[in-house]
Parts: sequence; structure tokens; C-alpha cells
Amino acid sequence: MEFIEAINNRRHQAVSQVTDLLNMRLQTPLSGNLGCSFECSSIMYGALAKHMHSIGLLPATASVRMSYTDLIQRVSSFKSPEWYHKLQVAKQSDDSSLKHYGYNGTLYFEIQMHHYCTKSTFLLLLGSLNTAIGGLSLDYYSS
Amino acid sequence: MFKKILTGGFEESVALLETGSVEISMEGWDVEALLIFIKIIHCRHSDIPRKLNLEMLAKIAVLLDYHECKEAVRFFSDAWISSLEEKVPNSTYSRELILWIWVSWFFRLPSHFGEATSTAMSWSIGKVDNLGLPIPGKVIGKPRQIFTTGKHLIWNS
Repeated sequence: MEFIEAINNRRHQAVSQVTDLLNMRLQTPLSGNLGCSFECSSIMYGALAKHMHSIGLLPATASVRMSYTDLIQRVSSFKSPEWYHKLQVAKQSDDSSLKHYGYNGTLYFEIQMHHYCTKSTFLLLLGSLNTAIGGLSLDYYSS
Repeated sequence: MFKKILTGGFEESVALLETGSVEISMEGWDVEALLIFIKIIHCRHSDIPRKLNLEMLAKIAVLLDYHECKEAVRFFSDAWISSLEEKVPNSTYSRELILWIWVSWFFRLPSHFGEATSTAMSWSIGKVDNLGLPIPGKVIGKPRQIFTTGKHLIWNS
């Protein structure tokens, strides 16, 4: 194989691997396998779609007009959505001064929790991506 | 002999890429490379510079390749390469990078070749172009045509 061709093929493959991964991750929430809940997968789907659209990767058939390095930098800087969900916490207390409020020994608190699961950050969702494409070996291309 | 030099990926051919045609004076731009080349094949070793820049090294490589006499400079090529002040670009896709690919391939420099091809693949926005460099055989793209008109050569892509 001509090595300019090899350079272009390897570059194309590396870019495609990243875009394929993104498209695969985008499809996963639709089948309900991504995210820990309906809210989680919906939020991640929407965020990923917005990011991909913003760098020209949607629709999936769009041609990528950026370098591999640029692509990796942009994908790596995809902002993960942050949201909170309510959590009810029960606490036992023997504070007798609360009795006349109808206190029965248990206090309930509602707290706001920052949502976190293994699917809710793009870093975990996409894994580590190679920052550069390895060079060709001269041995394969004789003079 | 001029064909390969003049169709190389040097300054003149950059203009060609931009405008579609370029007029190359037969005077001047390649005289130094030619002189060095002539000194090499005439064994005027004491007159041969020990230090070249990337551009000149690439031009001489074109001449050596065309005349299939790379072995004649084996003694000098190591010194030329080690004295190069330019480093393989590691974060830009540029004309210099393609010169590096050409030089590292021609002079068989595995680490430079690996670095240069890695940078080209990683930093090129689209298809990697050989800039019309006469990278022969397995490396080169389509042959180009040269027309002569009067004192000048016109390269039509």
C-alpha cells in the first residue's frame, strides 16, 4: 500500500472509531440500557446529542472536518450535565422537646443530592481516548 | 532532471496549489542544491557543506532520488540530519511536516518518520497531501505535467 494512502486510511480509521463510539453511546439510551434511571438516560442522551451537534457530528452521516487531535480535544471537553435529585433521609432522635409537635422519634430530612452514577459523566461514558495517532513504521515502506 | 526538482513541494509548488498554476524561473531557486549535488557526484567533498536546512536537504534528496545515487552521500547524510536545527513538528500540519516525511523516508530515519507520520495523521484536517513532492513509487500521487514555454517552465497541475 502506498504510504500516503496508509496515512490517510489510518487517520480515517482513528476518526471513525471516535465518531462510531459517540454514535453508539447516543443509541444506547434509546434502548434503555444507559443511565441508572429514566431521568439519567434522558439527560445524558440530550446532552450528548447537543454536544455532537455543536461540533458537527450530527447527523451521523456528516463528514468530519477537523483533525483527529481537535476531535479528541473537543470530545474530551464535553461538559457533563449536572443535576440534583431529592433524597429523603430519616434520623432518629430522642429530643423530647419536639414531642408537642407530634414528634414520634424519627426526623425526616429532604436533601438535594448531586446526581452521580457511572453513566452520568462523559469521562466515564466515553473512556480514555488516544490523544494522537501512532506513526507508521518505516520498515514497512521500503525505498 | 528539472522535472523532479521543479515539481517538488517547495515554495513554488505551494503557489501552484493555491492558484492552480505557477511560473517557475529556471534561474536561482535550485542552484544551491544543484551545486551541492554536482560537488557530491564529482567527489569535491571538501566543498560540501556539513550543515543544511530542511528545505535544502529535501531538495538534495529529490536530486539524489532522481539520479538514484543516495549511496553517494551516505557519509554526509548522517551529519546533515544530525545538524538540522528544525525539529519534526509535533502539533502542526504544515509543509515542513511533509518535507520531514519525505526526508525521513528517503534517508531512512525510523523515529523521525514515525513522529512525522503521527503528526500528519493526528493534525491534518482532511486528507494528507503530498504537496506534489516527488516522493517516488509507493509514496507519490499522480504524475504531473510540465510544459516549457520560452525561458520558463510552467507547471500545470
